[in-house]
Amino acid sequence: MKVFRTDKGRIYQITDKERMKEWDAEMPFIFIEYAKDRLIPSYPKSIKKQVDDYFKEVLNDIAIPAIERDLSSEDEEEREKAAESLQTYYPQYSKEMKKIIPKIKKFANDKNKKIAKIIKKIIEK
Amino acid sequence: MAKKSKSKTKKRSKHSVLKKLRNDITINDLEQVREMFEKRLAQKKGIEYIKRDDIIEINDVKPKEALKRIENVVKDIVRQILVAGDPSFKIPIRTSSNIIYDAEQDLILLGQKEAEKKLLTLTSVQDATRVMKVMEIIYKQCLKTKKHMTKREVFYGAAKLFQDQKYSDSAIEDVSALIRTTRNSTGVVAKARGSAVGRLKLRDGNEIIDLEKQGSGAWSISPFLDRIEVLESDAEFILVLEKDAAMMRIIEEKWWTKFPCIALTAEGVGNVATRMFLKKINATLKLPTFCLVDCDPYGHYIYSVYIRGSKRLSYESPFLATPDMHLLGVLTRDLDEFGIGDDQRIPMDKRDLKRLNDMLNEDFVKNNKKWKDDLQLMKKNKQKAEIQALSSHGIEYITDTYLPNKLYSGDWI
Repeated sequence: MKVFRTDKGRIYQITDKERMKEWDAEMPFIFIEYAKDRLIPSYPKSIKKQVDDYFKEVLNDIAIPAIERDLSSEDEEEREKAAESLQTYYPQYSKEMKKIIPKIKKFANDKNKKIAKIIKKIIEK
Repeated sequence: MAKKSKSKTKKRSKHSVLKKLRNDITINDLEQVREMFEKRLAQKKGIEYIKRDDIIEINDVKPKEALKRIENVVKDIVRQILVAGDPSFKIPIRTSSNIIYDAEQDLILLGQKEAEKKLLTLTSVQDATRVMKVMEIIYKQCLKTKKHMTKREVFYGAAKLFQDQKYSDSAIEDVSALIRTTRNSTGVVAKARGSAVGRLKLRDGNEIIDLEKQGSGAWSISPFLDRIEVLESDAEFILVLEKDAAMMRIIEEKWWTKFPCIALTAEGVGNVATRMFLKKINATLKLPTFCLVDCDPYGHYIYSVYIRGSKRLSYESPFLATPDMHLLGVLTRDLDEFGIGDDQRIPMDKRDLKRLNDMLNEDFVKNNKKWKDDLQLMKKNKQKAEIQALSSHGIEYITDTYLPNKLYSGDWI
């Protein structure tokens, strides 16, 4: 767990990035959005910035690479599953997930028509 | 008349050692709890189980590995049929003769003695067939599909063969021990019974669960613990409660808002899911953990199962036990120190005394002076009391006075 200490001696623990690497690709986005909407606003001022920075790292180091990784997988079934997950979660978590658009644009012309159709739809939103 | 007066004097003196209590304790006053938490956080690694050579080693494994292990057992049986025509397999014995108490780690573990189950002998063919059937059910219906089954569902997988659920339950444990894994790793789960509340956010698959926002209830501990993961917490300790009534008090007062903690109960003896969940949050968050049980031998037994595991599931102890949990109360001396009157105390019966003597004979009690002293005082008084006896001072006494003062004074075993 990643530990954050407030100036008043309180301790906040958040799951570490290593553990997040094992998650389904959409889960880091769900957690980032949850943290920004609900966790960070409730945290003491002394740790707000540190936690916000931590979630920026999560976005760049875990969330975006996980989506790219799954969409680039050699397993066609896994690629389709990743695209379908994007389709399901994008409308719900678009605030955070829109940051992946530059990374997934290339899949709009994917040879797999199902994947290409989903990605095109997401980009056009 | 004189006799009556003597008795009154005796009653007063019994309750005269009242503890000095504070009513203004806050989380920042719980220095001993915070110090314990800091020490645990400073440990680089989590509290890991130390392997030893004379016990059966069990691993928590993913479905793919469990499938491979079953395939290996079956391949070995096929090989035996082809070579000698007399197949058998060896299952670790789970009776007391093969149970080892590890004093250093304070755990009950399973030794290496094994029983041979032959498939072609009358004495063991029924048992062996049941084990093989359970292995088939686990392989096809749980591991291959990555789904979970309850023990009852496994029983109905071949009710005629099992005859009674106790036989299928036993075969499930045999299969787990045979393939050296936890029952949870086989995908067979027990009915969920425990519940938890407090300062904890969990992940269940792709859903986030906030244990502070459970309305007037608590989150039911999921039997599918392989799907559950800790996401965030600012708790400073864990409180394990024997009784649902005590849990209701914690919930109604939203006690975790004043004392950031995670509270959980299994409503009695901790079932597998509750013990595994406790182990998971204790190890992940490195939180000091305390137990609140009735002041009777059964309450102490419940505490012992949480910290050492049960003898029946001894092979899973490292995955189920939380050895560093402390017994916060209700201690025998608390009855006097917190002014529990004679009206709230119940005389112990023969069954209580037998269990009390059994507890006193356990090595893990003999090795723990504070625990032994408390049980010996209980034996001397021959009285017991439930957690709810504290409510004789008012229903909020437990949350406003008892728990804060116990945690503040570091008065635990």
